[in-house]
Amino acid sequence: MAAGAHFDDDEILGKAYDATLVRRLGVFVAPYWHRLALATTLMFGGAAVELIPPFLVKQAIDGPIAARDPSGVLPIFGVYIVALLTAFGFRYGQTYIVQSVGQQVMVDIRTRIFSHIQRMSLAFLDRNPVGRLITRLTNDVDALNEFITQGTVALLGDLVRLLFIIMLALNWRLALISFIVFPAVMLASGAFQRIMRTIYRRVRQRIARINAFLNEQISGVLITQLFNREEQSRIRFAELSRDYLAAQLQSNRTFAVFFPLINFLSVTAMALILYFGGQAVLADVATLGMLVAFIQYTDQAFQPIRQIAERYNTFQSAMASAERIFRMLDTPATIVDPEHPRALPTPVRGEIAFENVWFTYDTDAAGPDGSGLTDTDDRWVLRGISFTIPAGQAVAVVGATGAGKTSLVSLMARFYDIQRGSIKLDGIDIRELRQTDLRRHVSAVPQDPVCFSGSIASNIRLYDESIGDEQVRRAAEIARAASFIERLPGSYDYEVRERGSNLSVGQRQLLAFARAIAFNPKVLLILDEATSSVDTETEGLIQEALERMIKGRTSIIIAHRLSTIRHADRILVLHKGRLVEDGSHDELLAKRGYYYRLYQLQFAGELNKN
Amino acid sequence: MIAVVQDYGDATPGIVLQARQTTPGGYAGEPQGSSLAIVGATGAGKTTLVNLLARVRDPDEGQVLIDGHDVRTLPLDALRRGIGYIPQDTFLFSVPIRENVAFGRPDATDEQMMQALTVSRLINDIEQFPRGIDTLIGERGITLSGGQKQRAAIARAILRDPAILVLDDALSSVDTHTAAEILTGLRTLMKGRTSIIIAQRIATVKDADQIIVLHDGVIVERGTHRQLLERGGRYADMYRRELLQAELEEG
Repeated sequence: MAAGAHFDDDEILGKAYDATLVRRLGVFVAPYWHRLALATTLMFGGAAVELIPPFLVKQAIDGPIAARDPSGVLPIFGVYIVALLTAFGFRYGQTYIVQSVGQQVMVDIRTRIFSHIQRMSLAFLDRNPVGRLITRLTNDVDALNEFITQGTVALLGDLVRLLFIIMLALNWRLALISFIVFPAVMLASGAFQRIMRTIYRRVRQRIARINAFLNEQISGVLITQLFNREEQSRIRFAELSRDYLAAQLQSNRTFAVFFPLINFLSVTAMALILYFGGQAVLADVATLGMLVAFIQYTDQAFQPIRQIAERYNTFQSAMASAERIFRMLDTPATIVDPEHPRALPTPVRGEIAFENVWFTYDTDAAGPDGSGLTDTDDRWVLRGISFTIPAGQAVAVVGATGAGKTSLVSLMARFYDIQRGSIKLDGIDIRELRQTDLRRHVSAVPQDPVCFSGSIASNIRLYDESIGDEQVRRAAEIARAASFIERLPGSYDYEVRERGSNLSVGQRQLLAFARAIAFNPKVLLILDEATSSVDTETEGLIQEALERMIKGRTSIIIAHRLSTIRHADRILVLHKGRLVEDGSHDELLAKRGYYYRLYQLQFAGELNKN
Repeated sequence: MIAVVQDYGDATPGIVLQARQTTPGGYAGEPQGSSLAIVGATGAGKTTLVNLLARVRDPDEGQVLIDGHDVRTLPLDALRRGIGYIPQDTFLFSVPIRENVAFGRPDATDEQMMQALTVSRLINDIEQFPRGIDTLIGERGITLSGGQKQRAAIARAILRDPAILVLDDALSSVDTHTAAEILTGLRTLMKGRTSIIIAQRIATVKDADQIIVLHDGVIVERGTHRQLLERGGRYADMYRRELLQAELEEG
């Protein structure tokens, strides 16, 4: 059901190199092109300067050393030192610039992902667990950094080519001798890359499974403990870890074969130079100095090959990360502002109209216009709901569990978009409004209120510094949260832990009430079962607050209790996604229909039992 | 919120809890096979108190006794095997419903499974799921409603056939009618066993053998519904308020 836009790590195959991805990364790197161009220049400069020392060795050996003239060595030594220092300077500049550009690009990409996530609808967030989104922002972005900073590795191949040309120019016979092993090197590298690609894919899949498992097991550790499932979970985790280990060992084995092989080939190349080069020296085809220089050049030629292999894994993981990041960025925000948004009338009246609204959470099956599902499909949560709430009216929504009450209210705040019909605020379809305009007037107290880490006061004002301490206090008093807050150590400065874990559900709800009131929504207040976890005593206080809050505001309240319904001007009765009855409490009771039965079952029960 | 539990001093079968040092006679004794209800305001320490029982937390002072044994002296897995816990915040794993319900008892027979699903009233919902009881839930599967989740958690707890059943405000997302059905089913099921019910509303708890009222981490009242009403204290106040509300609805 929840297919589509979730980014399952298992699906990422980790291509070694993907031109499209590189091009898209290029977009992020492009603003820094001049600094990267400088870095590249420095790198080639450094590489060119590093070619000088072996040549100087040749000069020393063939010149002053052969002539047994120690004083002649000194100037060459001087130039040698200067060359090394220059190369150092080039390398320093290149490394520093590339790293700093990498960090900058990371900041850009992180910010981009964050703002993208913020624009996503609840449907997206329902499908993508927090852990996964955090991984995108942290690990994946870090992996990309590697890619950017090591991106220069791609140029190392060019350096080998440059080196070859110089070697050929210096002495083509010696050059050809040192090239003998290179076809074998190319073959070995090719095979290595092919094998590593497969292994790497396996490594990624298995670590992804471990992550997913850990994520869930840690969130549900209380249940695991209480149900004595530690052992089974441990066994499953050990299995997953072993699978991962097996894949890693395969990768290690491949490296263990490849590196000694490359070393063997490099030593072979040296031996060949020594043997044939030695003969060449004896045959006067090359000088002794030239031979020594060639041994060093051959060694230099092997450096990039080792580096490329070493960084191959980094490269692959960066590619996989890039793929995941772009897939996320490519998920279009399903709830978007219209190109030409309409403005709400000022002042906003707050008239709400639902016109033949059909809604399902299964957007993949339904398609954007709901044509994927027949009218009788079970997956419809709301089926052709129509009603109008005049401005200022307080409406209670009642119905059994799963009747669609929460969905109805979520749609009003446009947390989800409907498939058919329309929802209007003051006669304007809410999809034609800017979301900020809509939500400025819609305040929602959710079923499971969210708390942020920070003080109680900051949780009420939610970073809006225009809401002063006095306003915060007043809101808390109206919401009847003040009494529990004042009992907390530090009262309004009490530190709420992440997700409000040091507050009870009831306290979180009271806090959410205070928050909704602090923002003083001009028009509309939506309360979703907000009183369900609050004790009778607190609830009594909230009822008073409610009465004041809904005065002059259009309100939709999901009611589970008679006491809530008491405040409503009108009751909407939902049954299996349909609006079955609509009217005042007395009218509906007199009608002796569904509400009457529901009342007997749900609410009258409250009376009889007492 | 610290709930401190003190030794009842008597090796009576059952559970002994006390919520603050030395209030004379301030313990809460829970004889085997009876039902205990805990009521109290938001933040009074109700959840903390039951967490001490399964040793999710340990008390800073005093002790919790089950059948006369300090829970800290019992093997942890044996202690927890005896407790069916339905927490306030429902957590289900992204595995099929069957596995979630059988979480604490993977060897359950189909018959036992059906019983758990029936008592928890999840059975009718399951018929509507695409693959019935084998329907995957969570991210790659279907999303359950709040009430369905709570009922799945109830099924999971009763399938363990526990000696002690703990419901921590576990019916908050279930409608009143279904909740009453579940409670009736549980009453039959828990006959001869101990159950602890935390609730916000007196209507849910008034049939319990013993009711304790927690306030700011202290047991302030204890007794049966009738005794507590006669006492005319905090409980009676809560009850009156509930009744008053009900009257207002009628009027």
